Amino acid sequence: MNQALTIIFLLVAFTLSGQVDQSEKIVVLSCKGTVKYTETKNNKEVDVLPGIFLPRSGSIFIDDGAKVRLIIKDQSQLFKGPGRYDLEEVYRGISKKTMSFSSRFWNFVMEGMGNTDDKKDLIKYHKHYMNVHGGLKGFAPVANGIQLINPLGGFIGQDKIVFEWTSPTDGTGVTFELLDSKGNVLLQKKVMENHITVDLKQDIKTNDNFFAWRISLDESTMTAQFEHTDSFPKSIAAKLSYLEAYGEADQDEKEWMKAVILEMEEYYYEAGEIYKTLITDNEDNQFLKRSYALLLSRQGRLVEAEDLITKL
Amino acid sequence: MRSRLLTYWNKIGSTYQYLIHVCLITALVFFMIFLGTSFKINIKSINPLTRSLNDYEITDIVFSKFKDQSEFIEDIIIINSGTPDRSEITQILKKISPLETKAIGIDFLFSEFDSSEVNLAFANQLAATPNVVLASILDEFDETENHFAKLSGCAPEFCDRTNVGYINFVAKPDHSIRLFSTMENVGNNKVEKAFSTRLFELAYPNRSAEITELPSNVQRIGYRGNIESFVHFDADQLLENTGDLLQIFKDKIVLIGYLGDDDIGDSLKDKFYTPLNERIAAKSRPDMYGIMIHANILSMYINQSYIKEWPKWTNRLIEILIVMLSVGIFRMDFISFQQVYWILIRILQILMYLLLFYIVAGVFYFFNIRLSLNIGIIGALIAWDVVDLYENIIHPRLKKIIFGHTEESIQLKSNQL
Repeated sequence: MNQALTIIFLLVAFTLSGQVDQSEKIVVLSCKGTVKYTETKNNKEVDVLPGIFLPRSGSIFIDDGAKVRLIIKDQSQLFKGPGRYDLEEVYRGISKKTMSFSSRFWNFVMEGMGNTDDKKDLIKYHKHYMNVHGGLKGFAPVANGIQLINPLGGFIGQDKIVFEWTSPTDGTGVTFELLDSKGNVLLQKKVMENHITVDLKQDIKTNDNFFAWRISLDESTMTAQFEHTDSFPKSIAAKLSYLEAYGEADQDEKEWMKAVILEMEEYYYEAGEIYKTLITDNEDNQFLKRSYALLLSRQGRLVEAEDLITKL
Repeated sequence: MRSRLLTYWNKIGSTYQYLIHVCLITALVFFMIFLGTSFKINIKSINPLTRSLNDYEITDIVFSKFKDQSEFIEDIIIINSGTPDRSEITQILKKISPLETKAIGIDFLFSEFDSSEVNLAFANQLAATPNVVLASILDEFDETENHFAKLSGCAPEFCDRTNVGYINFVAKPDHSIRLFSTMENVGNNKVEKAFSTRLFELAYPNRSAEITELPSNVQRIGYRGNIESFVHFDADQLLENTGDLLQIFKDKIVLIGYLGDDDIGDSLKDKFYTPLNERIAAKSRPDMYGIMIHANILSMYINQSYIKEWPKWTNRLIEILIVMLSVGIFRMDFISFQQVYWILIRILQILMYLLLFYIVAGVFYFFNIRLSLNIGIIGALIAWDVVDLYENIIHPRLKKIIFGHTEESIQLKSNQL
């Protein structure tokens, strides 16, 4: 009888309950590399170590390559450098957990139902699921002296794109083609230069967001892909706002920070465009050139990266 | 005799008749399940689903999907020493022994000893740090003697100078680690304790009776979190630090172990499947390092968040009630829903399953009580089919055997009566 009553009590209790436990503490779970905490009041700087509690009134500086994992409002959050994060802002930016057991259960059931046609979805949307690959990056001789330069992957948020490649060694023109995700040719042009500008909204008509572009000469072709998004994701603006120095930085520094975040979010094309503009305006800034060279090398554009570094 | 039975049957009224039918069908449901489980045909090789679900429990979903895996666990600090190096562990011990820790566990097996400087320094450091527990392993179980032969994996030159606990878990190979044993008989009348048990006893000597008072020495692990829940240091980070570490380490239990060589999560060495794995069934990567499992057990001890199980008879009784309720519902006259009868039945089956899943998961989520209602759930799922079988095949034959009449003649006779 008692057990029957317990069952009834349990059923009622967990149906009505939700999570209300909130913690005000910010705790360092782990950190790697140089991470410093600065108290706003007295500007005192201390090393951040696992296990210490950080007051929200300060900020943390995370060096390039360093990272720190914090527990904020009972949630484990990873922060990567380089950057300075105002803890009060970070704290306020993290939403409170109020999801009850019933909501979690419902979400789980709905998620399961949504995934019932997983395999079908995988075939239909296979391009979303093609990040996994076997094999290593190799280097091959350039076909007829042509090499694709830009864009070489990732996302592109703007409509007007300049496609670039190296000129063919014999001075003849090449065939430029833009294709959709199904392989349909959306645009085909014979081009004598080593670049072409295409406005995705005006020059072609498609609802597709996945594109491939290729350059053909004789029987050789080289192809690269990218995904077009109508705008930048909100995470870019959010990450910029986390950087305490962003508000105080001058316009060029702001652009530089934006380029770094864009690269992190895989908007390589826009990041590169920003770097190019910044380098034109600040020709003597070696750090800027190094930063751009790093972006180029990470994209496999080693010749350009090397060229930039050797000119320093 | 038969007409007396028929008279009595008609007298008891339709409600009781309904209940008797429900009881008979319920018995039939359990009989069908019994038959199903009795034919132990090995179809695993042709049925990958059976293989993957073999290591699955409903409560795994609660761990991996419903519970917060980033809960902060304050009482334990993990030190990742990477690949075990005795000289480095000696330095770590030197560094943390003055920091007023409650206990220090070293989750490495030091089975060999020679009188090299490194080994002697390590042995001396162990002797100088009284609250250390070293890892060992239980050797094969001796069926005839009903005890484990001995503890191994720890050289006497080290073990004799400090506390030792075995690091074995209770699990089939490549299965999720759900169980562990708090203590075991080793050799003649000697009780050896698990690594986490020893650490808990050292850290909380006044609470050691809590473990001996547990209803069984084999306990389910109440997982609270993975690496994202514990404060953890890299050995280099700790050794290079020159600041005051007392406030961080004071009154904490420190576990020194392996969490990958370079970066956390990069290695499959000493890594296991646990119910916290994001993928509930089928192929996945092991998700938790051994040291983290020990940390979870310790945390369970400290917070007394043991997973409770009700006696078997209670579970069976609930299962019978579930099946009876399902049969009762499915046997109802759905004549007004004739057009959508099949759809209605299937929807009811799904709802029934979800409700039972909700109850099992909810009770576990809130109260750490593990209900074992698998048979009840299977029963509820097959209830309608058994009702159908009973009504169309068994019921008419039963009437003929008991009352000696066909359905029509019974109806006629009962009208006459």
